[in-house]
Amino acid sequence: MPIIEVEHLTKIYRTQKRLPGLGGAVQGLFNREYTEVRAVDDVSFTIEEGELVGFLGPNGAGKTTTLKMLSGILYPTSGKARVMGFTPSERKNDYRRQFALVMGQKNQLWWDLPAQESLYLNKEIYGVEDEAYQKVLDEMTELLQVKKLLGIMVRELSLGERMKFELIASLLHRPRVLLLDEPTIGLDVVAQKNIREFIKEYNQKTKTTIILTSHYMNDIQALCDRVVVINHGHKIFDGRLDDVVEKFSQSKLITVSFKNGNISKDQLAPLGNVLEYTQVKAVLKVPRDQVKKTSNDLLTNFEVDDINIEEVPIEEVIEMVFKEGDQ
Amino acid sequence: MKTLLKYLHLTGLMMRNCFVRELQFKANFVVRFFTELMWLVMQFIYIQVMYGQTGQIAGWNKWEMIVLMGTNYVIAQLFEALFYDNCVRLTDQIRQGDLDFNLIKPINTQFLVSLRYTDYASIVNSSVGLAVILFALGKLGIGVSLGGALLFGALVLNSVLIYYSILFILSVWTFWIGRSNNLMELYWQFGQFSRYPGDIYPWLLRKLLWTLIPMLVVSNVPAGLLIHKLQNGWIFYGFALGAGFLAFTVWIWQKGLQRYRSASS
Amino acid sequence: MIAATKTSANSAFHKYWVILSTRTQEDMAYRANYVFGAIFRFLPLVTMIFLWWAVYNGRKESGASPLIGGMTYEDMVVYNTLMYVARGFSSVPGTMSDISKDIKDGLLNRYLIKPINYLWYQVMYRLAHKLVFWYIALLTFPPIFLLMRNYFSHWPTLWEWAVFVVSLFIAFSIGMLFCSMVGMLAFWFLEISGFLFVVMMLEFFMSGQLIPLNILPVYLHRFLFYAPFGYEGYWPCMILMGKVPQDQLVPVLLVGFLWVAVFYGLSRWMWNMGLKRYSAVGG
Repeated sequence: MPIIEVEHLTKIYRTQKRLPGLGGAVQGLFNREYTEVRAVDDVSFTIEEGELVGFLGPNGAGKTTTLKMLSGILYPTSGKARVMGFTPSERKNDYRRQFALVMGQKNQLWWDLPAQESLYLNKEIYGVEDEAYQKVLDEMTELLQVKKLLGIMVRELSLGERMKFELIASLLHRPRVLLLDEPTIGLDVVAQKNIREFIKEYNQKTKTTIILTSHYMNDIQALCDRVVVINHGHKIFDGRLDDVVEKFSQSKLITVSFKNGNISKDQLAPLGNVLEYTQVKAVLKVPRDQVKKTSNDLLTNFEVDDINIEEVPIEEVIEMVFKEGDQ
Repeated sequence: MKTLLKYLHLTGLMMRNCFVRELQFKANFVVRFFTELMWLVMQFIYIQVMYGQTGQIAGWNKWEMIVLMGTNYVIAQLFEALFYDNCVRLTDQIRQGDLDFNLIKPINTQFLVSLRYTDYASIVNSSVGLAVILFALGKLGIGVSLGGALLFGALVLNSVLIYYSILFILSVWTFWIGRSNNLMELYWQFGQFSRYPGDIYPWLLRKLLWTLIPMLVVSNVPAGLLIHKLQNGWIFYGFALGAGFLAFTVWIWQKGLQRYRSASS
Repeated sequence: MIAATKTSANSAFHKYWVILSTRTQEDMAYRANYVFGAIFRFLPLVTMIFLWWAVYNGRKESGASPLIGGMTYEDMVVYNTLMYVARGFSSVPGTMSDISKDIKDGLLNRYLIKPINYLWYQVMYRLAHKLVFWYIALLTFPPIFLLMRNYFSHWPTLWEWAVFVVSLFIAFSIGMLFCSMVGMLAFWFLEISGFLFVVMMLEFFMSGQLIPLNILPVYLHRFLFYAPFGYEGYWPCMILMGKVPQDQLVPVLLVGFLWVAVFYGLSRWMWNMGLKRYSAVGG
């Protein structure tokens, strides 16, 4: 049985229409119009225990809203979500003891206290035994290299250090399901890498089920075998990351270098879309079904030194997918 | 019982955290203490000026009025110590979507948001209010039995919870009206009603203040107990009312949470 | 901040207007909050009126004169109501705490890099609040004054109206400048939120909002007559009620203007000193 089951999950927000300017604001005092925003629209998926799934989508696509519904923070407008057999929106204590949510944009640590105080409070709230607490704490602070920072005021920590403690605070009770919402947002490259590696190791070691949202492709690529792509509230893809490219990209890239450097751009143009061009080297974007024919043409008509056929980079594919969704 | 102990323990822990936090701002603590003291002195001057013009107000003499003032002060300070900050913060948390982490903790969410911050200056101040009460009772020549003192304590606690309920309900309204910091100011404004004897108000307002907006229950009942201006029925009424209000907060909190939008900053 | 990109000469003023008008919009978006605020603002008035009634009643029963400080019960009601108009101008809630917070949390940088003067920004911001307040007050005050029409024993002369209007300008200036100065204390002290209550209380008392200043013991009111705070409440009320003798109207205003000037100078000085300190510490 899957650990997370989501069926036709939908969240609709009603927001007030604002007319521009001061006059509009005055008018808004007396008479208001509302618009509906379908933040999450009929999304279904299942996740098995131990999986690490990435949610991919541009800002406002509905990734975070979905996670919040899985956490019981938001009530779904319609549809169903079940996590470990619980309905999240009922917010049963038994459920809340078994999952954790980390949000890159919000913090739960006490600002004016050392991180260890917040951690200890969490331990007591979750009812974690002293011994288990000490063990997790040692392990995590070691792994994330923040042991020395335990006694420092949270307000004096860097963003990356704070994020690490946020992670620890959420893992003290050894959740079975871990929801990570943009855990690397705003961090520098090194901190991003640290956290990424930690998540990977944690997932492998503990077999915790993890959902990760991020708009850094690097995060998703490094961590997730499976991705769910969400755009405008709709699920538009669910499967292996590599398959995203196959599904959404109708083209491949052919990189070719020539023996003598006097090939002009015009000569190449009929063969495909010339993305890069120097006299000795060119990159062509060619529809999938014509890759073979085009390579043949290149090899027969030009003196080719080297030829290389690649998929379009995933960032570009994803970017294209999101752009198309906008139209 | 075990749950109660756990919640008491957590309350203690959060209060300890606030204490550690407060220690960083010692100067502020001292200023707060003297501020509140000044507030008390100002009320005292006010009563002094009023009673300079007349010997009795609505049948209460000066020292009876000061018992009422002291009682009201103790209650207000205890409320502010435990709940006021939390209620004000709650309106912001609802509006800015900062409730998220409170909602996922395996513990009563209302408890968590209501008791997170403690204001220690107010706790110290409430003891000053108690001294004022004792002084005024001495002037009036009234003694208090142990049973009377305990009952007074219970009534004070009940009043604190009534204040809490009202403010909490107002904060939770943010779920529906989007912003309610003006509503929070109501505390200071409703609070005025409880500073005086109920008899200065006309009939309709008096009835209102004994029931729907129970500002007179809050102050007149405990103070009335001390200076023997109270019939026993009012004590039961006060407790029943407190329980009713508290129950209502639980209900409206659940209703409100369904409207929570968790806006991201 | 769209306006900040304009560079023409009169855009300097336009910029503040945009800040001002967007603030107002933001406030109005939360309709219920404002309506409740406007209605419940009058609750303290209710308690005060009943308390004074009980006091005057106590005097009547004991056969004492029906005048307190030269005021009848009706005068007292009018005084306390007019106080709302005066404080509607002079009170600028949130100014002290906002300024001190901007300083303490280092948010000042946000303003320092923009081509706007921070203190003027604050003035505009508060004016926006006042605009909304008065927008709603225009709906609530007339019925209240109509209800109390029999309590007014004195119809102000044109001259008194004029002096009253000027005194309201003084009221806003003193309130605003004073609150800014207190807020700027955050340049020197880390945490002043507690201190703000002291100031608010002093204002409450010394402006005559709690008790008309002339009823206070002689040694107190002699002093408070010359203090700046009376201009935030007591003087505008008394001027409109005709309780200030004709020949004293101008001197009262002059002292008020003097305070405005002193406060203006002081606040500029504090700002310059504070900013030096702020940048030295690194914000």
